[in-house]
Amino acid sequence: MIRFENVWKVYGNYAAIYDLQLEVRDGEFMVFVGPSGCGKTTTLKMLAGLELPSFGRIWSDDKDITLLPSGQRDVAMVFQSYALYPHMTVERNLAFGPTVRGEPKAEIAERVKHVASLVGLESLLRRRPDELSGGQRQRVALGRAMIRQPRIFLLDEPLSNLDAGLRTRMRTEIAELQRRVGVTTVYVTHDQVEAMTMGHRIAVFNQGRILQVDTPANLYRAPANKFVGTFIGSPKMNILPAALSATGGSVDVKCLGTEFSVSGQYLAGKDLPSSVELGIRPDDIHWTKDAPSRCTQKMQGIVGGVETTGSETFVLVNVRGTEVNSKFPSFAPIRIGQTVDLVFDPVDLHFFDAVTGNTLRKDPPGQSERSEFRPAQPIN
Amino acid sequence: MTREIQPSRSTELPPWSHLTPNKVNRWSFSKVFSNIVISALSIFFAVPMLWLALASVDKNATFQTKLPVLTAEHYIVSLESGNLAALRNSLVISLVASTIGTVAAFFAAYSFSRHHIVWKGPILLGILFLSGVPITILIVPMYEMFSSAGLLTMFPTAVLLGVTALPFQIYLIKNFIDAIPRDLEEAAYIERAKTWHVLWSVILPLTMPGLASAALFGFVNAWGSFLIPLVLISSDNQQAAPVRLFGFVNATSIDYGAIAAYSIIYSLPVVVLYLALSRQFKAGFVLGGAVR
Ligand SMILES: Nc1ncnc2c1ncn2[C@@H]1O[C@H](COP(=O)(O)OP(=O)(O)OP(=O)(O)O)[C@@H](O)[C@H]1O
Ligand SMILES: [Mg+2]
Repeated sequence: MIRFENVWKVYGNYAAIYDLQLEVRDGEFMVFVGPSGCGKTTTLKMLAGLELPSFGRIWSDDKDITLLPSGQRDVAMVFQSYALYPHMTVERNLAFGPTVRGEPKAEIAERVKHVASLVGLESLLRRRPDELSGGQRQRVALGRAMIRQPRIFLLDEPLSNLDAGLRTRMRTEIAELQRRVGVTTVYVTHDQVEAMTMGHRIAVFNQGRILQVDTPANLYRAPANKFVGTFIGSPKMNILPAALSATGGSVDVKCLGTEFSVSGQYLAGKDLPSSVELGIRPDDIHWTKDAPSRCTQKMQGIVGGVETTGSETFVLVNVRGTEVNSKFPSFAPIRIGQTVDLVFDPVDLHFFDAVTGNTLRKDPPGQSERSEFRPAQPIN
Repeated sequence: MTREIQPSRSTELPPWSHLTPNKVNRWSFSKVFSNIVISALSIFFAVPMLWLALASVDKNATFQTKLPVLTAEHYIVSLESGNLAALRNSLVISLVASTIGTVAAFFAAYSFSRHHIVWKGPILLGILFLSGVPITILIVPMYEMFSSAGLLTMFPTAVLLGVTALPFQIYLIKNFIDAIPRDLEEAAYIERAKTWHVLWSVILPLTMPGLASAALFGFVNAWGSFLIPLVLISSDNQQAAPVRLFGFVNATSIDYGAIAAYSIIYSLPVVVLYLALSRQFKAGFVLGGAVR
């Protein structure tokens, strides 16, 4: 288990990492997501021993590894910048680590061949990095990390430069490898799909802080705050202004012309703020002609834009001056300027404090079972 | 309407033969003007070289440039054992100086580039200042030191000459090391590489052009040094070539022909070294593909 304990990274008087608390369990596939510049790479480098935390400790099981040199941590890393050796061929780049560690030559050659086929570089082994395309370079960087079985695997956006097909293939390849070998992995990405499909757990970063660490499903269903709610999921969750008033066991909500009440058991805290922000995913707002029967609340608006992906259509509807993104069936005959009726189920709503952005909602009943992560068993 | 493509009867003509190629205008005032100026300047610099070449084979060489009466005697004089030995001494001195300077500068430059050093800025400024100060202003105290330590010979002088080139070499190499992304080293350290390994197989190959320039600078700096060998080398048979060259000038006469011939021979090693290192200079932009 790796544990960050009150870790800070301060550059001058700018805190790149702000009082970080994080646990990565053994064998876990942990994904870091967050906007650019939020401190993902910095955290990864502190874990690798390439950056010294300004304050705080990093623990590996019961051992304090805060000051341990990177060479002794047994980590393999894919650098965001690739960091290939420009004067060496692909082959020698791949073989660099094992060669430095003085492993037998025959074995190295074997492993280079294996890894090269894994990342699809067999035909390029004799080239130098400046003779490769961006995606090919990235695969060399990935291969260089995969050639070894480290205790911790650190991947900093390892697939960002690959085409869609290759990215899907490598995604499965990495996830597969991780599950088979059971090596603790920290994976940085900007890609929602990568985060949701690969990770056992996802840590959402913003401005040097971790906002939430949870399984993909929980992150999606129960975001801890507005930032996580809008960051996870594509297209973005709608944020609608609303007013609350508690009456006995239930809470009355006023939002964009509709009024309804929700059961008080959904909301945490005794004194609810009167003005809140409602979060609702486009998938949870339906067209009246294509809605589950449980959807009871109506809104009406004018279509402002239509985006079709083929399998589904997202329609931007202007409801009393607020743009609401909603999911329509792909065949929906919708034109801009048309007036449409939308419906939703209040159970699907997220309530965020208008000031702090934190969720006011308790875990929805019946959904609180956490899909508990179980580490993969290493094969023999 | 699609135009029909005519099957070309004469196969020699490429399909673009009827198009007028784009050309940059060759003649412009600024081009003509700058070429004239450059030609005038190059003639100005070429005349002394021409004199050198002509005088070295002229039986009656003077300080004038004229058609020579051909002879090889100046070259024969130049290759006399004493003169040849002086060239050999210079070669040894310069190689030692260049090697010592470049190796030391490499390590110093690495430290300055990568390590945290207290007062790094002022120290670097000091080095930059020192690289502009001619060592000859220290020649008297240096002589005192060398003579009292009994070091008035070739090798200590070579070391001193190496040291005089050090500040500039450090600066030169440091610029090259600065350009190497740190990620490259970090990637190596993660693989449990030792410092010497990182220096040897990551930093050194990528600094090659800088090292080549620094080595050449160190060599030329020592090769052309006159005053320091003159003062600090006491024995005649350890003396360097520039001092020997000066020997062709004596109180009563100047042997122009021999000076010219010896000068030409004297310049050859530098040319050879430059050619030998030129591949390293070309290896210049090796950082391509390292980081995105
Ligand atoms: N050496 C440094 N000096 C000062 N600030 C730094 C330094 N390195 C990083 N930072 C700052 O720390 C913050 C976090 O940087 P980091 O590289 O971890 O971002 P990131 O989350 O990896 O972003 P991206 O997704 O764009 O790679 C950034 O705001 C960056 O400007
Ligand atoms: Mg980054």
